[in-house]
Amino acid sequence: MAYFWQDNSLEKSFWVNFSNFLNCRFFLLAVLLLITWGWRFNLAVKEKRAVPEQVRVEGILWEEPKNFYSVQSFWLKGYQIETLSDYSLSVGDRLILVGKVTCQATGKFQKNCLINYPEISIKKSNFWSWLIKAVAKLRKRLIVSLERVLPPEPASLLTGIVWGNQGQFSKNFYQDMKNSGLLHVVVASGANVMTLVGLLKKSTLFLGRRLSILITLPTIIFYGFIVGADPPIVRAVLMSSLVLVSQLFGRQTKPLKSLFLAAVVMMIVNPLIFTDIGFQLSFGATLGILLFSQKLKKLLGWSDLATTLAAQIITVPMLALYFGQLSPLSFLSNAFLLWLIEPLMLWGLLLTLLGLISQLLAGLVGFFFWLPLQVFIWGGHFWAQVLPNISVSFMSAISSFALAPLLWLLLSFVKDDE
Amino acid sequence: MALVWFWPDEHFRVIFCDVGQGDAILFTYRDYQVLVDGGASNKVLECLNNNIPFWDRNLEMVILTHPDNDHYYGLISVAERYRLSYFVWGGLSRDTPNFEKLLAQISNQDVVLITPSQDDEMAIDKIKFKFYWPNQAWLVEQLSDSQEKMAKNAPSKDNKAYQNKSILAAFDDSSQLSFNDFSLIFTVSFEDFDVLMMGDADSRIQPKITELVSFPDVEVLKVAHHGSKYAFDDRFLASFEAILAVISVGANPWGHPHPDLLSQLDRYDLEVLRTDQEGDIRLASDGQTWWRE
Repeated sequence: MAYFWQDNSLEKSFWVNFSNFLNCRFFLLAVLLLITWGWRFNLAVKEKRAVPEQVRVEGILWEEPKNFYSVQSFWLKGYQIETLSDYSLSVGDRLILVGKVTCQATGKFQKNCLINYPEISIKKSNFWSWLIKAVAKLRKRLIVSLERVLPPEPASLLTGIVWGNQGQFSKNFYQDMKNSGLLHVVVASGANVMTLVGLLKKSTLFLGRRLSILITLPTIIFYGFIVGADPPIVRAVLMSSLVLVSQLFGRQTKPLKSLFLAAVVMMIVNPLIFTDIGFQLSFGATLGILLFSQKLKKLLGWSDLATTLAAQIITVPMLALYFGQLSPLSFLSNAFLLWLIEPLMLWGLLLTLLGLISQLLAGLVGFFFWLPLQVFIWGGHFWAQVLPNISVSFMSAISSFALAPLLWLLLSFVKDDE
Repeated sequence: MALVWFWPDEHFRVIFCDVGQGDAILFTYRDYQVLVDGGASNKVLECLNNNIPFWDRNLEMVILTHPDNDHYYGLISVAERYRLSYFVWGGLSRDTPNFEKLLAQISNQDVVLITPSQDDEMAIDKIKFKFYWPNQAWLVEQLSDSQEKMAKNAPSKDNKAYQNKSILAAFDDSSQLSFNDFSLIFTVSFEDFDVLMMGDADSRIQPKITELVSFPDVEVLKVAHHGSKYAFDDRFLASFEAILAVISVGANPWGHPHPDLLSQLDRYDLEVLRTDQEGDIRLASDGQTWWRE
């Protein structure tokens, strides 16, 4: 605040003043939000600690139960539930479960709490469950419209990219994507939301900036609702909404600020979400991109490579820590295959719409679609075979977190673009 | 170029898909495909993806041997994605949400339903099917409500037929009967190459079957009930000759395939292949000779 009166220029002092006022407001808002989160966190921890053996869990079913022989399993309020597949359950059902909980550690930092064969009752629908049912039905329709016109594997890839459909990946394909470091693009992720924002803005720009934002904003929120409530999607939808709203009012929002706000808002809604690996990876990757991608791009002159490297600076140490393994060269597969994602996303959206109108036409177009999708599948398989996957000790994983500050230091010598 | 590369040749193929503990067997010839059962998961889709040309969205025929989860569940996803022309089943319906889903998927399409029984024959180009079980008289005997609920009869496109033709209202869990006993047993032939499909019809029903049916010699025998200890009755195995026995099996708590069954197959000089060890098992034939790919 000291330089308020040090600057002689009236105009400059006004802007400094204004920006300080905004910063001040942001600081206050951040403190307020963090206090709210602390309070909610305290409550959630108390509740978590007090888990009795016999629990009664009440909530809305968000995902289609997965069947395995005569058993179906699903998640409800952080518990994994297993029950007979004879129960007819569908997304949007308001369930009340009473059963015995058994928890066991599934990794260094995670535990899984299971309720086996609980008593299940379904409550009468309310507005929210009705809405979730309707959206799930729409999502299913959109996915099926693609699945009908493409062979199963390319279809699972495209529905994964466009509609976040992860349930249909074959074991081999999933393993290939995981080993080649491409899994994050074939499930709907923050990057896919950002791609959609880009596509929408580009295609509506001729309507003028304001109208373009007014179309993009609700579409993105609606898209997020269809694709699902995974942390990376919520993070990306929140961030892009914040940026779009501020653009609507003629303001520039620093992406780092919107990333921080998105994180705190999500943590207030679900105070323990920061323990979710998906949440951490999503924020880690975005933070890496915001901090490093511009400068890396300037150094390397290869946009996809720079973005992937920047995202991995923070996520690779996390993966090494949690899973004891890392694929240090997976930026190569990304650099070579990421260019396919934007056109696939755009054409996937159009093919979905076409499939809803006429399956015959979509089938004809889908015929030409097979090749780029198959190129991605073959590419993923190739990189999965070629890229080394190395085991990492706990100490090396911890020390790899030093990479980010080191890179920060090195890149501070590279000048920012004006 | 892709079209030329993936254009099917003139050979007939049988692919025992590795779908874990369950059955899913695909027969292909030119651009015709017939799928027998769908396994207990969506794994069958991977097998279809790898063995059906990418432009082909039709499955000419789907045969469901009997409505157990490890035979029908994967067919729900198949019916969602592919256009089916014929659905061949025993008419046995199951009162579970998943089986209803399958019937709903089929009723959404313009599928011809066929419920065959002993001595019925069908053909798709050079692929021939001959049904040996269930025997019509035996079927009538088993059903308390006699012939009214029979699923047999002419092919039908009427979707309501799914309800009206369902045999199994009379068939509940307290019954001594098992769905396995109603499995469709049939041969799939391509000129001189024959495969005998057994579903899960195991040694508890085989004495009755041997009494009413005589089987031809075949090249390939699909082992009944995933290689259970009770998969084959000796009299049944002795009633015909086969060269290769294929067991569709995955990780399971019942110890399938059972060592007694394996030594029984050995006694009958049958070469054995297992999907849990080999993955997808692909056999091909030109009508005279056959080989493994």
